[in-house]
Amino acid sequence: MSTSRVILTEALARVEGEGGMHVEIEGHEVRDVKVRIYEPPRFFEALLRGRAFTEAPDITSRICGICPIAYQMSAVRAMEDACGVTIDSGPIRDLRRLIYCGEWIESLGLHVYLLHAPDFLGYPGFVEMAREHPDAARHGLELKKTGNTIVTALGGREIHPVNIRVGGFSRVPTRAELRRKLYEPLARAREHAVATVRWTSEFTIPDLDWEPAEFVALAEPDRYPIDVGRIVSDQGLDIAPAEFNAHVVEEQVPHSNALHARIRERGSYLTGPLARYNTSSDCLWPLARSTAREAGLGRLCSNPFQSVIVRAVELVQACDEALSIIDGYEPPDRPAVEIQPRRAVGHGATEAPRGMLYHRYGIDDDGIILDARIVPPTSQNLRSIEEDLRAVVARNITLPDEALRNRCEQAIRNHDPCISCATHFLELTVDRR
Amino acid sequence: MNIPRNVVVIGIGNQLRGDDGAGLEAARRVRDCELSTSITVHLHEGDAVGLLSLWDKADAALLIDAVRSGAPPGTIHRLDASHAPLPSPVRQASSHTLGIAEAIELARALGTLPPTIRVYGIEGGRFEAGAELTIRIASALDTLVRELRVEALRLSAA
Repeated sequence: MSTSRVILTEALARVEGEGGMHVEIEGHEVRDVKVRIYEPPRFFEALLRGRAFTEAPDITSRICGICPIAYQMSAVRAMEDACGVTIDSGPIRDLRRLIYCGEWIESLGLHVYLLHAPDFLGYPGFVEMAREHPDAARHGLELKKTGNTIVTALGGREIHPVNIRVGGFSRVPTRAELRRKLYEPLARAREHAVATVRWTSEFTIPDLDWEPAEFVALAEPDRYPIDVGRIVSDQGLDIAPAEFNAHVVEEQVPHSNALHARIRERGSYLTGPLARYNTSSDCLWPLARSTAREAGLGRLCSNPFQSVIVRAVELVQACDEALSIIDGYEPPDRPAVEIQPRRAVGHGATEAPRGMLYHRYGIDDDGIILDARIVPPTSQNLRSIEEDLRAVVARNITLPDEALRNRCEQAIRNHDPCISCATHFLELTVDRR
Repeated sequence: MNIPRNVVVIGIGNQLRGDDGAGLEAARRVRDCELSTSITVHLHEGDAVGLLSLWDKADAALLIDAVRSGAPPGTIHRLDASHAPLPSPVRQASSHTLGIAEAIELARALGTLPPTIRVYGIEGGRFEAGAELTIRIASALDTLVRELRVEALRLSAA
């Protein structure tokens, strides 16, 4: 006799936003898996219409309190592209990369320690973990704080910074200011980041008979992808951000207020730490590369449960790069390049901590926004997250409901979904019949 | 003469969401009172994890935040978290960050919680984006600010 069951988590914790997971099992078969996104859509693209091109970074940064820099950077890249300006080198690019490293350190540190590590160590949350692993908890908090310190130093405040503008910054720091505010905390953060790679490499990583169909990330010659690059994949995709719309379609699905994206020719794909690592691990600097090797990572890594280690490696890279930028920094002559609007369409793609974030804007000769399209990483990943979840349920189908629910939640957190971004939170149900 | 003890008064909230700004307004008014130099006032918006560094090394912390429990707007709830967690209903409806109750328990786990920690909850009426503080909250604040000043001075001298 076949038994049916439904496993349901009403509100998935330790993800950003509001949503749920519903899994239906009949006997030993997975019947249905849905990541239900019920957080209401926020219509940011519509409210951007009619605003000035210079307002896009400040308006879109409000989409997310965790990764506002990603929104600001994709917006300024797109607007500069529309206006025919490229800032791919020099001190303004360096400062952009530095503040983006700050967001990576804050967000990756938050995810590894506060959101994900409790899953691997068997605690219901970070507070319970901190009682038995106080030193690790302190490292996590210090990493997060260091990231915030960088964002505050360059952006004016830690959440929704105000100092980033199309063309550059409103004000740039002096060399002495950067060194005084950031050097010591960053040097300590780099040590904590190396320790984080070793710590996460000792976690028990569940096996999985599934890997994402395609890894998609930005890529730039000789640099680990953060703020600039072409869009590439391990399946041969190699396009400019301007070609994104020709290759990626977004579709509405009944159970989600977030759109699901797919590669037009092939289907689901994954962005984020695993994608970046698999397309650019050769570009990691020696410290990050050697800690990755010591942690047992090869050149490629496809098990999403290992993403926690890859995030730790990226923490090392971000700290190392940030220190190097501070070492070599000389302030620009002017804090921003003056930019004249023109009637055009511009595209911008950058790497938010949880994956690639694409913006496209049409503007007129006065710089008024005519239309906007924003494709956040979680929308791009949702189809893969559901496929991943199906594989996790299939492999663990004999587990009792509570253990299966925990494993499913851990699997979702592998992808650090930001549902608020994708709709512009998560419940979990497992239904066994 | 005793060495004064360090007391922090921390107003918590979101300035842009109506009565959610009540804790910030209370802290602002306490800051404008005559206080001893061992009393520090902070206004805190955003992630509650940041509270750990604000009360680090303090002997006592007084936190003020807006709450929504169904009581009449302007009701003041007084909670002491010095020796036990806040009651479980006092939880923030957020997912990616910790709420105040979790931040207090995290500090307790790490041994960095001030020996005295009190939470003053101001019952809010409306939390819409862009709204002003409601009248009943504004008048309740007068009483609360006087109480906070007296309590902060008493704790700093204790």
